[in-house]
Amino acid sequence: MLTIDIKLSVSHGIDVRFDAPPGITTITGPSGIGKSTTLLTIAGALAPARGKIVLNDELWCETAANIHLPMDRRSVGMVFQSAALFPHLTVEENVMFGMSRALSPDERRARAQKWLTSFRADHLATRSAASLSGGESQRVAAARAFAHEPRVLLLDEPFSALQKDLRTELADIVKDAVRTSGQIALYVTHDESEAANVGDHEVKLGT
Amino acid sequence: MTSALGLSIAIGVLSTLLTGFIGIPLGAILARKRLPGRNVLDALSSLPLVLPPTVLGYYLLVHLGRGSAIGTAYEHLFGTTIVFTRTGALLAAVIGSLPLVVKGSRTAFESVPEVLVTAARTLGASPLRTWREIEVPLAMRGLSAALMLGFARALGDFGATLMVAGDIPGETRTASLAIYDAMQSGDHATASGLALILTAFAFVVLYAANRQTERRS
Repeated sequence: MLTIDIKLSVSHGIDVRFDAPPGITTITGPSGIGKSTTLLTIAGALAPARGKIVLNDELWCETAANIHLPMDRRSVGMVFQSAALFPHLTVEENVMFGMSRALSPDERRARAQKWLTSFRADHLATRSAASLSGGESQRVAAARAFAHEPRVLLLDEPFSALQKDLRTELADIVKDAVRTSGQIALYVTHDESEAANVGDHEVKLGT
Repeated sequence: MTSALGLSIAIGVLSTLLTGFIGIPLGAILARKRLPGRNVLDALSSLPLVLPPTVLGYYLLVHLGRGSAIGTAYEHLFGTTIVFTRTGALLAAVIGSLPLVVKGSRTAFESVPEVLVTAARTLGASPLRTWREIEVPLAMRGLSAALMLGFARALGDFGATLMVAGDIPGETRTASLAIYDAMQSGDHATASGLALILTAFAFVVLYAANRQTERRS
C-alpha cells in the first residue's frame, strides 16, 4: 500500500491524500490541479510543502523529520508525458538503462525484447530514440518503465500521443501487466472513460 | 619563432586539459538551479574575464611568488619556483581561460532537459551515473566548444603571462610575447609571420567551436 498525505509545494499547494493498494489507481482532475506534480513528488523529484509518503512500512518522505529518500532508492518507474527517452541511446539501450547490473547482458537484452514486444515496439529496438515519432516514444517509455521492475509505477498520461484504439489496447496491456505483477500503479489521465476502463481505484484531485 | 610557437601550443594543450578538469565539473555544479551561493561562485569564476591581465598577473605573483605560502611550499617540494618558469606561464593561461570553460560548460549542462535527469534517477541511476551516462554525453558538443574557446584564449595570453612568467627566450617566451619582442626590435617579418599563424589558428578553433554550437542547437 502506498500512502500519500502531502501538501504540494507548487500547483496552488493543494492537499493530496489517498491510499493506493496494488493495482491501478487512476488520478483525474482539472488541468493545473497538480496531477503531474503529485507523481513527481512521489517519485522524489519534488519535495512536498509538508506531509509524508509511505510505501508499506518504508518511509519515503516525511517533511517533519526532514526525511527525503533519493529518487534512485524509491523503486519507482515513471512514464512521462513527453516520454523522456535518452536521445543519444538506442531504443534497446533506453529500455535496458534501469535494469539491475546483476543481470547479464543477454538477460537484459531478453527482458528488453519482452517488454518492447508487449508494447508493440520490438521492431524499433535498434533505432535511435531521437528518431522516433511521439507515439513510438510513448510505447518505448512504457516498456522502459516496466522493464525496470519497480515497486511503484507512475504513469503520467502515458499514451496521450496515440490514437484512441491503440491507446485502449496499450492501456489494457498495462492493466494486465500490473495485475500479474501485483505492482502499485498510479495512472494520470484527463479522460474519464479511460480512467473507468483502466483503473481499479480512482482518485479525483480538486474535489 | 618555432620554439615560441611550440611553447604556446604546448601551454594551450596543457591548459585545456587542466581547465577541462576543473571547469567542466564547476560548470556542472553552477548549472544546478538549487545550489546555494550559485551567483557568488559564478561571479568569482568569471572575474578573470573582466579584470585587466595585469591585475590577474599581480594576484598570481602575490599568491604564487617566492614569498607566498604556495610558492614556498612548491619550491620546497620541487626545488624550483612557480614564477618566471613555464609552470607560471601555464598557470597564467589556465586562470585566463578558465571562465570561458566554466561558462560554456554551465550553458551546455543547462541545455540538458531536466526531465531526462529525473527519468534516469527514477530508473535507479545514482547522481554520478546520471551525470556520466546522460548529462555529459548530451552536453558533449557544448563542452567541446567551451574547451576550444579555452584553448584559443590560452594560446594568446600576454599580460598575465608576462607578469608571472617573464619573457625568457627559449624558456617562457610564448608566441604572443615573441611578437611583442619582434616589434620592439624592428623585426617585422617575424612579428607578422607569428601574428598570421596565431590568427589562422584562432580562426580555425573559433570556427570549429561555432560549428559545434550550431550542431548542438
